[in-house]
Amino acid sequence: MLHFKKNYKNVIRKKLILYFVVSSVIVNLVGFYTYYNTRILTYKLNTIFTNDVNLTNLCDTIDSVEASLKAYLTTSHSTDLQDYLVSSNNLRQMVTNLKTTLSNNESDLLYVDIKNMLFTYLQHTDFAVQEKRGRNIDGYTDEFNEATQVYNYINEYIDKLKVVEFRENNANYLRLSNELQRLQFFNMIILIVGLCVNFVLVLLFAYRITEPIIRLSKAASEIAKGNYNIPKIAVKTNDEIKTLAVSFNRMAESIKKQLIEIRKKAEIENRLKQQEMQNIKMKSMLDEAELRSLQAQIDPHFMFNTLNAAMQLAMFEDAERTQLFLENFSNLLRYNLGTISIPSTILDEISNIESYIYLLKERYGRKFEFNEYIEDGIPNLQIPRMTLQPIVENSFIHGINEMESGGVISVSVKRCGDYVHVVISDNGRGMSKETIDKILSDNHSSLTKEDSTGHKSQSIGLRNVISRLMLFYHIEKESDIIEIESISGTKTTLKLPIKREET
Amino acid sequence: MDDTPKNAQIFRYHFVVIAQNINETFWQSVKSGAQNAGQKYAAAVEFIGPEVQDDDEELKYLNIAIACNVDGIAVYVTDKSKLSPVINKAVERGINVVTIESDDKNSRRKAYIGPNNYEIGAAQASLVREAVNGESNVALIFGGNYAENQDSSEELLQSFKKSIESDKNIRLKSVKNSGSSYFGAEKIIRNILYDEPDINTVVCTSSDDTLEIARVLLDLNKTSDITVIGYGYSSQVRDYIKNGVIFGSVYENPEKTGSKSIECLVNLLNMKDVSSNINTGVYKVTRNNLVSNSDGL
Repeated sequence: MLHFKKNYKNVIRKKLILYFVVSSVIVNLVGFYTYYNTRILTYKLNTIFTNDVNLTNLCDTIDSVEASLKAYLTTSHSTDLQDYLVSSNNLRQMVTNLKTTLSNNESDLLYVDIKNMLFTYLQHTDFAVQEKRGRNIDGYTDEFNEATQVYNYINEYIDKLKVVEFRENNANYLRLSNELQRLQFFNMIILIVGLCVNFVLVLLFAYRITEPIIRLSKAASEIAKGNYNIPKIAVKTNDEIKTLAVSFNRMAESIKKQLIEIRKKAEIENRLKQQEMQNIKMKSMLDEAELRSLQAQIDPHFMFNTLNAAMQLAMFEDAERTQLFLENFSNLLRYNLGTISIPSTILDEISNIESYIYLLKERYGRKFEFNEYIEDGIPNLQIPRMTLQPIVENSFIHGINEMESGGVISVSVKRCGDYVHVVISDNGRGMSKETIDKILSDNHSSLTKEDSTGHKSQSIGLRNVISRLMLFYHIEKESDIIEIESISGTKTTLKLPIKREET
Repeated sequence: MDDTPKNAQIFRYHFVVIAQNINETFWQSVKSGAQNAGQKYAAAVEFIGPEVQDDDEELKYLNIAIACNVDGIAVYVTDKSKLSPVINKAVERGINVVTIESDDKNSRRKAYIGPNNYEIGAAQASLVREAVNGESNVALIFGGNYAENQDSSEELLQSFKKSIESDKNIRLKSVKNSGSSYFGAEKIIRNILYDEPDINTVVCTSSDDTLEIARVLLDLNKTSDITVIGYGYSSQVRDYIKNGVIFGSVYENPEKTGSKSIECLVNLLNMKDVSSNINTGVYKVTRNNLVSNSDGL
């Protein structure tokens, strides 16, 4: 990460600087180009007139040479000689410095000619002065005449040159002014093109820099609004904005992850709470059942002792049936008074039913038959205490009780896939559909309600049984644990899962 | 002013061509020939000379060329007596001098470049013979490069006379000189028409004279009276030949004169052997061979 940062340190600043530099370089280049062109043009215009000035200087110098020579030759004064020497030296200097090019240009050629003639002229004048000093009259007059002839030629050529230069300058001026116009036009175009290029570049640069920032800010405001499902922001450039985008993407990703985790936690907590609620519910139901059984447990010791005494009495009197009766009753009571919160087993429940049925049979004689079928190798499942007996009791009270004879109550325990089906059926008058629905619907008041016969149920109600079974096996739908069919008689099937989840 | 100082060629040599008359068409051709050769040999060619034929002015230009200390001079010799000493002076100072179109054999010039004057005279005579139907009285009008009393004119005259000697029908009646002045030829042809009515053939030695005479004859509607043997090969001359105003024309190659003179001067500077007489050739044209000759130059 540190390395990453170092690599892209201040890239955006550099970019901005680069953009500004490029932009200003373009503008300045345009400006410099225009300035440069104008400079060249001005220089050209200047040269037109400097030549003229030079020529005039040259003419004056030649005139002074000629005049001083004439003066010296006529007067022989040393001052005139001095004048001549100075001016001729001057002229020689000027001529030597005169830059000429041999070309087919008319004025160039005239310059060459004038330069050469000036040398010839100076040669003659020097000779003339020498001859004068040597007092050779013929010599110096000849040389003077020659010099004067050349002097006249020079003047003629200078005049010619002036005419030619004037003509050339005129042409040059026209050309230059044309050039100036062209240049101005060209400059204008360059200026416009430069500005356009600059404008485009500025737009491009601005867009390139701000576009990812805008995207980032949009994404950020989306997140601020609570929308975490935003696409990843891709930034092509390698600068701080990329760093920003990468970090932003990471942040968005981690926020999303954390959010999911928080949700999961909340769900788990929720589930735990529900579990607790169920536990509390179960406890309260157990409490209710316990309360009920406690009502019946007024003085169990007295009752058991009394029963035992009655059993001993029956034994002494050889009343075996009475003894069996009392024994079953005692068993039923013992089972009923057992701690209700400790689960029992199917077989214990079944034997409890058997005791109950025995007592009923002794009481009601041959009024009904009881059939029992228990499949071999049935797993002895754990089951809440006092779950089967209330159903059998219901069958008897609501189904068989009012029949004179021929009532049948059957209990069968069968394995059915992963379930053990406990089926309790009777051939009584059955229940209406509404009653079944009422029982199966989650109506908690069923514990204390009075049934349709006006018989206040002292036993634990069917609804209580269903609720306890559901809580015990963690089943949420009544139809998954119990099925009640009532066409003629009632068939109640309890579907008990063999493998129940450990909680 | 096509040549700006910037793109002007830089030259190694500096030559001066002194023309007889810088305004004449003929000499303009010489100039272009010389300048083309100058480009080829990297020589700057100055073309100077009087506006109208003028011995003294020519002398002055020769002196200027000497004072300019140029590398070589090509000069048309008008007056031998005046020019010879100056030519010699130039040569003494180490300046090569060649003569063009008109020679000065006795000076110390290095070479002569131009047509052979005898050939010209003979060519003119043959054209006169060609043109004649019956008797022919000829007036020879010197002009242009052929001024009176020049060696070249004398040579031409001799050759012409010799060529017509055998022919009884052709007689040289008079010899005139247009003097290369403005309208000189016009005066002469008028005089001939009014004062010498027997003359029916006019022979010219200059292009400008030819055109002037043809123009006058057209103006006066006398083209059928006078047979004109012209000189030169300008487009105007050819038009007049086509129209029958001029019977035919003798011409030379002035461009060749110009170019050969520069070539000769360059060779002299490079110490090469140079022929002292360079013939640039003589040609003639009539209506009959006008087309075939049209691209001869």
